Formats: sequence, structure tokens, C-alpha cells
Amino acid sequence: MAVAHWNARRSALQMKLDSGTTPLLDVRDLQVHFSLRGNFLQRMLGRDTGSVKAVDGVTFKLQRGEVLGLVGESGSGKTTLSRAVLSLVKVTGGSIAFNGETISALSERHFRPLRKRLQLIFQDPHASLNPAMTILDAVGHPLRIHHIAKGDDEVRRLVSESLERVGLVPVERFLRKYPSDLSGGQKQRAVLARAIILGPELVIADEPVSMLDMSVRAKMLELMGDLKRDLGLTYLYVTHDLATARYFCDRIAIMYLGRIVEIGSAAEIYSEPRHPYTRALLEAIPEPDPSHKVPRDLPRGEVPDAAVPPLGCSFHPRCPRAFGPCGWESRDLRLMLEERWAALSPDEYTRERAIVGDLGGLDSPSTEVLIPAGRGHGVAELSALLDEQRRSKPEDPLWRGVLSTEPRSHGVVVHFRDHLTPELQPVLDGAEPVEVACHLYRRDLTPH
Amino acid sequence: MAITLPSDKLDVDRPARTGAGDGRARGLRRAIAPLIAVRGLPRWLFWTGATITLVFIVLAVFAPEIAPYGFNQYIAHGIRFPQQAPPSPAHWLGTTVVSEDVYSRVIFGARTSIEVVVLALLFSIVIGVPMGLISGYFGGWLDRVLVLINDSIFAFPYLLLAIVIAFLLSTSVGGGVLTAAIAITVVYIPQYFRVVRNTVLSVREEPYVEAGRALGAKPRTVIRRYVFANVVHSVPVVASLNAADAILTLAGLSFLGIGMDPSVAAEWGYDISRGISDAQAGFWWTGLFPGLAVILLVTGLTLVGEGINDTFNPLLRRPNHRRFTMPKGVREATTAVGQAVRPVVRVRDLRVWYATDRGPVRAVDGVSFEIQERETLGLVGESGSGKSTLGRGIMGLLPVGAIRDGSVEFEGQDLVKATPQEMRKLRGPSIGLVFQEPMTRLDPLMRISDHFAEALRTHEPDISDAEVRRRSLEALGGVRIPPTRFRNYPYEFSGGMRQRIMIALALVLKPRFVIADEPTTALDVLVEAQILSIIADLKNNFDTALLLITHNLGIVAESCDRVAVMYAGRIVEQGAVADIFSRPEHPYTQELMRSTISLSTRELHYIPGAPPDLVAPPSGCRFHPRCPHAMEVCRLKEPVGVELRPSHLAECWLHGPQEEIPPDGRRPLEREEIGIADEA
Repeated sequence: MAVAHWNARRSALQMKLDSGTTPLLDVRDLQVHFSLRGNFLQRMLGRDTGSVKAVDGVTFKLQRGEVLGLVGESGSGKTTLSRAVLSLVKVTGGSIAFNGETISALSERHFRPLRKRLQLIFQDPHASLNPAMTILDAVGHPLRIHHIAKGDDEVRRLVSESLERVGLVPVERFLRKYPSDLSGGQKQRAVLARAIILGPELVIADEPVSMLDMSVRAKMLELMGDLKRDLGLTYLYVTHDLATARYFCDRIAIMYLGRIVEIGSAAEIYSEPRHPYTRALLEAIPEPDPSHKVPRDLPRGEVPDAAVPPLGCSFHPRCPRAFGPCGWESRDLRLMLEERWAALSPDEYTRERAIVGDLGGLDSPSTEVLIPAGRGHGVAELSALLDEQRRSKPEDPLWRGVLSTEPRSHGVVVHFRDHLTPELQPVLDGAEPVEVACHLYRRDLTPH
Repeated sequence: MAITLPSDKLDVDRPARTGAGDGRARGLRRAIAPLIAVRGLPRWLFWTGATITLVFIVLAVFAPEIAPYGFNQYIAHGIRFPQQAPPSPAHWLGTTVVSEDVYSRVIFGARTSIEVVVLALLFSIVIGVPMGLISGYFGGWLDRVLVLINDSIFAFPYLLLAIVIAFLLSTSVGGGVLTAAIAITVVYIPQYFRVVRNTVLSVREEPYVEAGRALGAKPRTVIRRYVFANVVHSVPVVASLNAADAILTLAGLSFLGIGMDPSVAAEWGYDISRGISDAQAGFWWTGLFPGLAVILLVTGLTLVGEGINDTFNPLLRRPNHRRFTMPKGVREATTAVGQAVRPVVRVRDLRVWYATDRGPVRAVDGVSFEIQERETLGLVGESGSGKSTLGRGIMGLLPVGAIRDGSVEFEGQDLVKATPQEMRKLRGPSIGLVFQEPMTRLDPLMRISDHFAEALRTHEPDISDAEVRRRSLEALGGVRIPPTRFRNYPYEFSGGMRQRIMIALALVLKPRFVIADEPTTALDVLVEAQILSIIADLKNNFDTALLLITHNLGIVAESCDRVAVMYAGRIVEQGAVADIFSRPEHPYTQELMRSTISLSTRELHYIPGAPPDLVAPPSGCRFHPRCPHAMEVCRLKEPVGVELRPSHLAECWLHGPQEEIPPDGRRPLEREEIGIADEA
């Protein structure tokens, strides 16, 4: 029955493609914010404790039959986004439509029937199968949950078909085994079998091969590709690994701190990455080629705290090509000073540190901030320090954001330019369309 | 009542071998299998305890048949029993002050105890376990309320609580078995609640539970099949230890006169309390035997509980490993890439075998290499290759039961023969270590400055504070950590920064040799590149020899000078990075490179089959079952290392030595199809 089921779906797919195009998945300005608990006093007083903006305004469409890669490092929000599509975390803003029908606001009871059509495969094959269920039970469980099969025999038959599809043959050898009896690759195949048994339309694959050995990854990707072709699947492929994404994906969306910073056809993104973050990611991938040495001009710093993201463009503190409107603020000053001091000898550091007072005021983001002078040191020394820093590193993008530095009685006030948050804009000069959220590509803002 | 609890993962060594059978029966058989298979102390504990308990259960069930008289019978055949008579053939354990037979009372006491405790356990489990499941799974306000209630009950002195409840119930319901059982139940419900709830909290976060929800399972199904099934194993331990405790509680209640109504049933505690005044008068048997019965049954139940716990709790389990002796090395030390200059570390024929219950695992089986000053050797291999064992084997950081052989020469010493004290002196100032997961390697209660102070002071006790600070900041500067963060705690840093701190800690004592075991595996790609550039700088700034263990060929290509490829416990090829990457000679190296997916890969490729079982590796060359160029000789004889080019060594019959290949040995090997069932 399942095979007929799949075949019917394939011709339905064919009709859909011919008829044109409600996207299978239509995500608009999606937001998933987790509120922070805050401390006791804050909760008592009802203060806003802030939230982690795991997904902060994501928009994209996924067409039937295509593979969209969601690429990002940890903290990018890609995993949260995938869980939001599956209604495993609550959506706090925006909407998700599946086949034209809005699903982001559905209750679990109404969403449940949809789970037949939307499935998930996980990263860790060793942890995504219930240790207490045999392969037969685990792969057959969706059939029982959704009352598709009647009776043990039918379940067994459908499970066997599914196992054959993913290549776990001879089937009898696997049906009664427990997950701990299988290898990593075999487990991942079982997870695939479980995901496809109901004939889903969309499969979200969360890092499906990153925990498998290199020598086995290709086999898994090949299998996933075969299933896509045979069953008419659409994939959302979530990963941090741009190398495997290249093989598998038609389009790629690069995510950073809850937003999509670049999205377009895979061919275009790999041949001409536009966003500085995309470029950095591509350069940083270790290549098994000895002539390719570790890149030296990588973005400095680390992924910032998603609870209080940088102003303007979230990537600006690390971006080698940032300029004026990118969102310069007080915390960038602190980063600059810390980076400077990390390169000094301990004695020089001690001497300089005394010139600057308490840096605590620099921690709340603002475009106008006072750097206090250290106790026993004058404002003039502080000004001199800042000038010296500027002279020694004039190419530091921070200075392009500084409007003025004014000495006051107990410190120096730094004014930054107003910040603009970049939005995804189409860039049309490439071979294929691509959208980038970066001020460098806005014609009306000339970098200076 | 402190017990060490089993963790949430049920770690079964060998699944029970069964044919077709009902899933649940198989599951049960599988769950119990370790109890049958366990050896050593846990086995003794469990079976002794089980035997004792069984004896008492038999006494309890067949009490009317076994006991010669009724529990408060004082007369038989018209003759009254003697009063307070010592043990005699007529009354084996003597009689009490009211002429009851002590032996019969002990047996009926067993019946009472078992009845009450079984009832109490059943009630506690039926109430406490589901409460814990629901509370743990759903959380929220329900959880908070239930936790509050249960913690309050738990905090109350339990005997007092039982007394109060027994007292209240006996005035309304009467002093029977049910009353005692309920009193005890209430006291123990929180135990089950807590244990189950805590296990649920950890299991709840597992991917397979999320998978269950993603499939559309209703919460009750998820709780039953995904959570409860993996949590239930913690209940038997608590149940048996609770049963032991419940016997004591019941005895205590009866001792105080608040337990069972003596006209309804016999109870040991009651007998003991009467026995006190008897003992003062010299009648020792009326109190002693009930007391012994209590002790025995409680001991039996406790042994059962501890036996189960020791068997199933991976933290407590003593490995069931077969002892082994390593046969003498039969191979000559292969001439590793001989260089004129004396290397910092030279490994010759190192073997590291682990003990398991199936026999020794030959994780590292004859490995030789050298590392020069300022040289980085990349040791690359997939899972099961033995590369991590090799790193630890050099340092001597191996689990109990592992045996090493061969030699590791470092600064004139053989590390394999060094004593633990000598190794401790070397670790830090001479040999540095960087591990895989920086998240868990720093002490969360110590500031970074304290970590450095500890590292420095362990090896240089007289160092001054100022010097500690200077050297620490210097080390941190080398890894680009700002000095403003010197006094932060580890949790204030991200994963990448923590790894850099680990590297700084490893380097602060300026060791000549550093072993880095997968230092970037848990990190994102940009952070990884940062760490790699720091590592690449190491050798320039510090003259360090570095052994970099990884599974990623890209890392090796970009940051290492030489590479050693490891497969199934042996180094199959080693040489300069430029050489090996441009002209790999060993089929495994070639296959591995072809399977690596990078941005420049043109075609997907994989290696069929799986790495071999290192308890019984394949004969001859270990790669032969998967090798596309395998010949007959590859199955028969282990290949010998051959120096193909200066410094480029490979072990493969394709490259000779010719004289060692028997005639006919070059015939291609006929192999079975490698099916998915044998795949990695």
C-alpha cells in the first residue's frame, strides 16, 4: 500500500510542479524569542527580563522538490527555526504556511495530523532512536500513532518496505534489533526509514551526517538524494558544514544570530559569496590541500550573546569590511581596547589599564558613551591613548562609525553614527539571483 | 538512606540472544540479562540477598503450613504451653510470657511484614511513579506544586510521620495490615517521586523523546514509551531499598505500640518490645529471635537492592573484564622515518590493549613514529582507529586493565616504563595536553587566574605572585585572550575562548611536547580556524613538538608538517604532508581522501564496509576486507613497513617487499559482497 501511496504522491507532485507554485513552505518574518527568567527581584517587580531572540525576523520560501540549506554556526538560530516549523517550539511572531495553510498558530491537536507530512531527522544517530524500542517498533510507531496501518502484519509489511528503501537489508536481520546493536550509519538509516514511512512531503534534516565518519557520509547523502528523487521529497537541510551543503542543496540560506544574511542559489553563493560572513565561512573550511594554509584574515571575536545582540548589523563587530552605518556602539569600544591590551606585554598592559577607568559603562549598548579616565590620571592621557590607538590601527572599521570624540571633565565622550539594521535586498549583478542583508550592497550608502 | 542512583542510560553489555519472541518479553529478558551475567561482588550481593528474601517470602506465604501453631495460640490439645520456656524440642525457639510459641510468631511475623510491605510498596509505586512522570515531563506550576508537597513530606522525620498517620488511621479504620501499609506508603511516596522525576528530567531532553513528539505521538504515548520505558529501571533499586526500610519502619511502629493490633496479627517489633522486659529477667529468646528475623530480612532486601544497583549503575559497575597477557612483540621495530637529528619523542612499536569482557581490544597494535622539535605531526583516523588511545597511551592516561608495550622515548626516558610519579612530574612542564571538550575541562569554581596559579605552583612551588601573573598574562596574550578577563570564571567564556585558555594552560610551563586530541571538534568552523592558527604559531614561538590527533584531513593539510594515517590500531602510512596528499600510496589513505567531502570535491565517494572489530581483527592486513586492490597475500600475512621515498613509509603489499610475497600471493583476493548489514 505504501508503494502505491508513494507513487500516487509522485504524480500529484508532478501535477503541482506543472501547475505552478504555492510554495511548500512560506515563512514570513518569523520570530522565536525565549524570555529569560531573570532574577527573583525582576520577576517580582514585573520588569522586562529580556529575551533571547533565537530567530529574529526570518523570511523565505521553499518550493516543492527543492533542497534549501540553512547554514550557520551555533547560535545562528537554524535549529530553533527548524523546530519552529515543526511546532516543537512556540512561535512568538511572524507566520509559517505549509502548502498555503498557516500552521504557526495551530494547537498541537490540530497540528498533529500534519506531522504525517512534515518529518525530522536528527544529528546524533546514537540518541535519536528510543533505546527501549526495537527497529520494528520504532520505524512502525508513526503508523500506529496516526492509525495508518491495521494490525501487526500490515505494520510489519510497511516497515519492511521502508527498511528496504533505505537499504537496511536483509530486513529480518534488523527488525528485532535494538538501536544499541547497530552502527552509526545503520542507525541513521533507521531514522530515515522512520521519517519516510508515512510518505511525508517535507523532511527537515538537522545535521544528518556530521556525526558519521567521513567514509560513510557520502553513502548517507547519496541515499537521501535517492529518496528525494524516488519519493518526491523536499528537504530543509540544516547544517554548519558548507562542504556537504554544496552537494546536497539547490539553494542556501546563511544565518547569523537569528537572521538570514544571504540567500540564493547554491552555485551563485559558492562561486561568489557576497556577505562578509559567508566569505569568512567559506575560507575557514579546512581543505585537504597542503598548499591552502590556515587563513589569517578571519573575522575576529566570537558569536555574540543573542540576548543583547549588537546594534545595527549583528556581524559588524567582527566584520573586516564594516563601515559607518553598520551599527557601531559602546561595546565595540570595549572590544577594541581589550584586543589592544591582549597584544601588549603584561607590564605595558598594567600601565595602560590604569589610564582608563571602569569600563562597566560600556556594556550597555548605546551610540553615545563616556569613557571615564582612570583614577589619578587625566583626561588628556586618555585622549592621547585613543589617538595613539587610532594612529596605530587606522584601518580598524570602528573609526568609520565614530562621529566625534569630545574630552569632558572626567572622561572622553564618543559619539557614534546612527545605526541601520540591514534587510535582505536582491543583488542582481550575478548569474543567478541572490539576496544579501549587508550595507555594502546598498547603492544609497556609499562605504566610507 | 543515601543511595547512589543509576543514571538514566541503561548500559547493557550484550543483548540477550533470542529468536523471534514477543517484543516485551524480549525487552524484559534483555533488561534482566546483566543480572544473570554479572560476576564478582555484585553477583554475590544480589544472589545472597535474593536467597534470604526468598526464604522469608516462602515463610510468609506458607506460614499456616510451616508454623506448628497459630500466632497467638497458647494451648494445644487441651494442654497449655509452658510460660517463658527456653528453646526445646517442643518449642524450637521457646515461648513467650503468655505462652505463645516464639517460632510460630516469628513465621507469622514474616507474613505480616511481607504483607504490609508489599502493599505499601505497591501503593507507593502506583502513586509516586506516575506523579514523578507527570511532574517531570510537563513541568510548570504543576511540577512546582508537586515538588513542594513531596519535599515537605520528605523533610518530615519519617518515623514520626508514620506514627501520626498510623495513629489517626487506627482510630478510624482500625489497626490492621491496611493501616500500617498506608502509614508507610505516605512516607515513601516522595522517594519514588523524586527518583522518577529526576530521571525524567534528564531523559526528557534526549533527541529520541523529541523524535517521538515530532512523529506526532500524544503526550501519554511519549511518556509511556519514550520516557517511562527508559526510566523504569531506576525503580527496582529504590523499591528494594525501600522495602528494607519499610520493614524497619513497621517494626518501629509496632515496637511503639502503634503498628499492628496484636490480636490481629503477629509482628516482630511488638515481640521485641515485650522481649525487653523479658531480657532483663534473663529470658533472652523472646526478643532475640524476632530481632534476628528483622535483621536478616532487612539485610536480604538491602543486598538485593545494592546488587541490582551495582549491576546496572554504570558509575558503580566494576568491569567484568577478562584478564589477559600481551604476547611478546613478534615484529621488529619498523624503521620509522630515520632522521639525523635526535627527535623530541620517538615511539617504537607501541601497543595498547584494553580489557573487555570479550577479550582484549587491540586498540593500538604496534605503532612507530618520531616527532622533531618545532614539528607538527597530524595523526588522522576515523572512529575505531585507535588514535585517541594512542594519545592517551603515550601519556599513560589509560583506564584500569589496559596494558602497554613498546617504548616511548622522551628526553632520555622511556615513558612506558616510567612510574606514575615520574609521569606526574613530566605532565605540565615537559608534556602538555589539550583535550577535546573545553567546556568540561576547566574547574567551574576556580577563576582562570587560579587555574594558572595552580599549574605554575604545582611544578614551581617557589614562584612569586607577580611572576605567576606575568607568565599567565603572557600565555593568555599568546592565545589572544584579553588580560581584562584574567579573573573571570570559566562560565563567562565561550567554548572557543575556553579552548584557547586550555591551550594557554598547556603552554604556560613551556613544555617541549604537546598532545592535542581533537582540539577543535566541538567548535564552530570560524573558531576552529582561529584555534588552528594559534596552534600553527605554537611551533614558531615555542619550539614545541606537537602531536595533533584529528579525524579531519583538512586540518592536517593546513596545519601539520607530517601526517600519520591510522587504521585499526596501526599506522598504515606516514610522511610529509605535501607528499602524502599529492601522492598517497596506501589504499586506505587514497580511499579516505576520496571520501572526504570538501569544497573542492568533484564526486561523492565512500568506503564500503566498516572498521574491524579490534578484539579479533582480520588476518594479515587489517584493511584487506575493504580494500579495492587486495591480493591473496594480504589475507595471509601482515604487511611490512616499506620506505617508498625518503621519510614516506607505508605498510602495503602492493609496495613489497617482493621477497616476502609467496608465489601466487599476487592473485587478487576474492571477497564476499559487503552488505549494508556490515556497514559502518
